[in-house]
Amino acid sequence: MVIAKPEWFRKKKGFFSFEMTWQGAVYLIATVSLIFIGILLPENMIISIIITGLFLFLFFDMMYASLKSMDERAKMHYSIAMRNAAWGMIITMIMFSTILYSFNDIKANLGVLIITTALVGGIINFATRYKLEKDS
Amino acid sequence: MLVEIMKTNIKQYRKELKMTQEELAEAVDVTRQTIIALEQGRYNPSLTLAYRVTKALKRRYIEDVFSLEEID
Repeated sequence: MVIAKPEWFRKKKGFFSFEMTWQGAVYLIATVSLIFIGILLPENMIISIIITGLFLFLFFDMMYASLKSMDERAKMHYSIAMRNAAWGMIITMIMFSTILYSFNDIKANLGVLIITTALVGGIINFATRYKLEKDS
Repeated sequence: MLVEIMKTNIKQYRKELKMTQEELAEAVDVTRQTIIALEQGRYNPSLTLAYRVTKALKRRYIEDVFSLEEID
């Protein structure tokens, strides 16, 4: 962890609850804001690279700090959920790319491909962790 | 076919110490959901966690708290 600290993102009390200190909330808002800043700023290769790099840095730093605050059972659930999500994303990318390729339309719909893949990954991650939590 | 399951006496010892699940969870640095899963035998803890739970329940041996049983 470079900036984010595990105590900013405390362990959950229930599946849908998440304790976060004001530092954690500020960190999260700053990370999410970069997405909107990237959308609102005029298109420029260098600015895009900087914003993307900054977002990825803050995002992974926050994820690592959150992981550190999880107990062993939560980490196990998270690992299983991420594995399932990864497979789902790979399958989605292959299927979607194949469909777009057959219509010679990959370049135009790259953004849609990325967003769909991320959404599928997020849904599978959430569903897996919910099921594991319910089962145990 | 024999299946191994983890049995625990966590609830019994916790009640003897008049401890809530939340208090035990705080003592061993896990969530209350993990304590619930442990008490119900739905989660097999790591050795480190098993030692911490045993210590928090003021028991001397891990075997007092956790035992492995075989059922058919």
